[in-house]
Amino acid sequence: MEHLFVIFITVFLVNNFVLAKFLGLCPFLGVSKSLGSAKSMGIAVTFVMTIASVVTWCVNRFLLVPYHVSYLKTIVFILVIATLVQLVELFIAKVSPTLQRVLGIYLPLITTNCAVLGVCILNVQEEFGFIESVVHGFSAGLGFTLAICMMAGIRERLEFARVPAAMQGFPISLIVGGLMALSFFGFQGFFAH
Amino acid sequence: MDVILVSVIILCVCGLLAGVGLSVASKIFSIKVDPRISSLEKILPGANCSGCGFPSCFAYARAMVEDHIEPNLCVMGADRISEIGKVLGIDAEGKERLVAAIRCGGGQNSAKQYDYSGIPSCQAICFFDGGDSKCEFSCLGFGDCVSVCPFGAVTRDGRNAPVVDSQLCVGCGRCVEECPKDIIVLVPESARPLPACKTHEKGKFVKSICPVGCIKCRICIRECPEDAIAMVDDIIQVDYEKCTKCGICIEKCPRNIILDRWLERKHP
Repeated sequence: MEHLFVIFITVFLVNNFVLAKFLGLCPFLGVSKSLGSAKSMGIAVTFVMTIASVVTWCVNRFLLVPYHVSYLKTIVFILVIATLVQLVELFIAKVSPTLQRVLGIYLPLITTNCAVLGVCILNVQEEFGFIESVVHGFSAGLGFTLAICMMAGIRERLEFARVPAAMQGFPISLIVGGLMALSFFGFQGFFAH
Repeated sequence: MDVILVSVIILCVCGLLAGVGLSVASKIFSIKVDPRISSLEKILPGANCSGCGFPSCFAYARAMVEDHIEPNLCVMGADRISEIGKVLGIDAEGKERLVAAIRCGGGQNSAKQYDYSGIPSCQAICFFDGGDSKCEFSCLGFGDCVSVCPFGAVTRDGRNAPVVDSQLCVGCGRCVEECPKDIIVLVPESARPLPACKTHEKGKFVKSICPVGCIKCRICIRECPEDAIAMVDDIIQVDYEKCTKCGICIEKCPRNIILDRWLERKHP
């Protein structure tokens, strides 16, 4: 239990996927213009990361390892995740239109997000068990949500700020992202014994 | 050689499984969408202004088809509403279009009580004694209404005063909600007189701070042959149902604050 909690905090704060590992920067900058859409994106990413962790763990354990083709994991995971997201989308559209409206366009957008792939590959690299993989995926998604929501909050404020013309839009957002990453760097060494 | 063969086979199998799985799933999970919904969605403006009370045009289209919600909640033109009626097979009558109008001609005309150089937003300046204008009911000129308009119908003229393009405005009321001074109102598109001042202050004070403020002389009320103008809560209000658009009030107003919307006349 303690072990799982350590995984959670590590991925949520210390090794935050966006701010420490610099994965998933594309949605981090693209969908952080308003808090509402950032929240939807965060929920969608958390959702996909958790499910992708489950499925890719199974694929790795029961297909790649027995046939000694672990070197194929990157390409197989991309395939599996893309298929999975499509499948989940079809399923949700049928079963829960409400959930579909919440996730909206963001679900298909993250099919090939590198943060999702990163979670799955790290699960294999760290040799996580099933439960650990799930917790890892879920907390990575929460970490992403935290980062993107903070970013969106700051960018909503930036709308009102007087930014020099050359820095308006993405330049200032990148600087904000950099400063956030710098502050998250303060969490480093939290669990170093 | 083996390595390549095994990789290719495994990937092919994975790809095939994924493809077959997806096509089977799309059959199992297929949903029937009423074709009327998409044709209604094409008629609706698609701006998702939520003026009808639904979060998006799609939601409204679906509500019309599935829950038989009235088709005239949308503020677009009457011709489009009758088009919707055709799709649904019912008679649909449009209401008269409402458009936004700014009830302030002063704005930058009225005297300032301090120099402001903060965040350029009406909401922001309102935190400082209700704005830099001495008139409590004056347009602040930072254009919060301009940025909130989903149809691009509100622009700012040379003096930073907002101007509504009645052709583009659909009367969704976003600017009405946004304006911190509460000086934007919705009026029927064909309405003619627009009393462009909302001040509650007494005439003498108004005269001292603004050249185009209402001084409560009540000439328009007396001159109106239809009794359509009244003083409601210290503001001139025109009852557009009674108004015959004769334009007498526009001519008689000694301070020229009742604007003729037919001319879209600008202030001096």
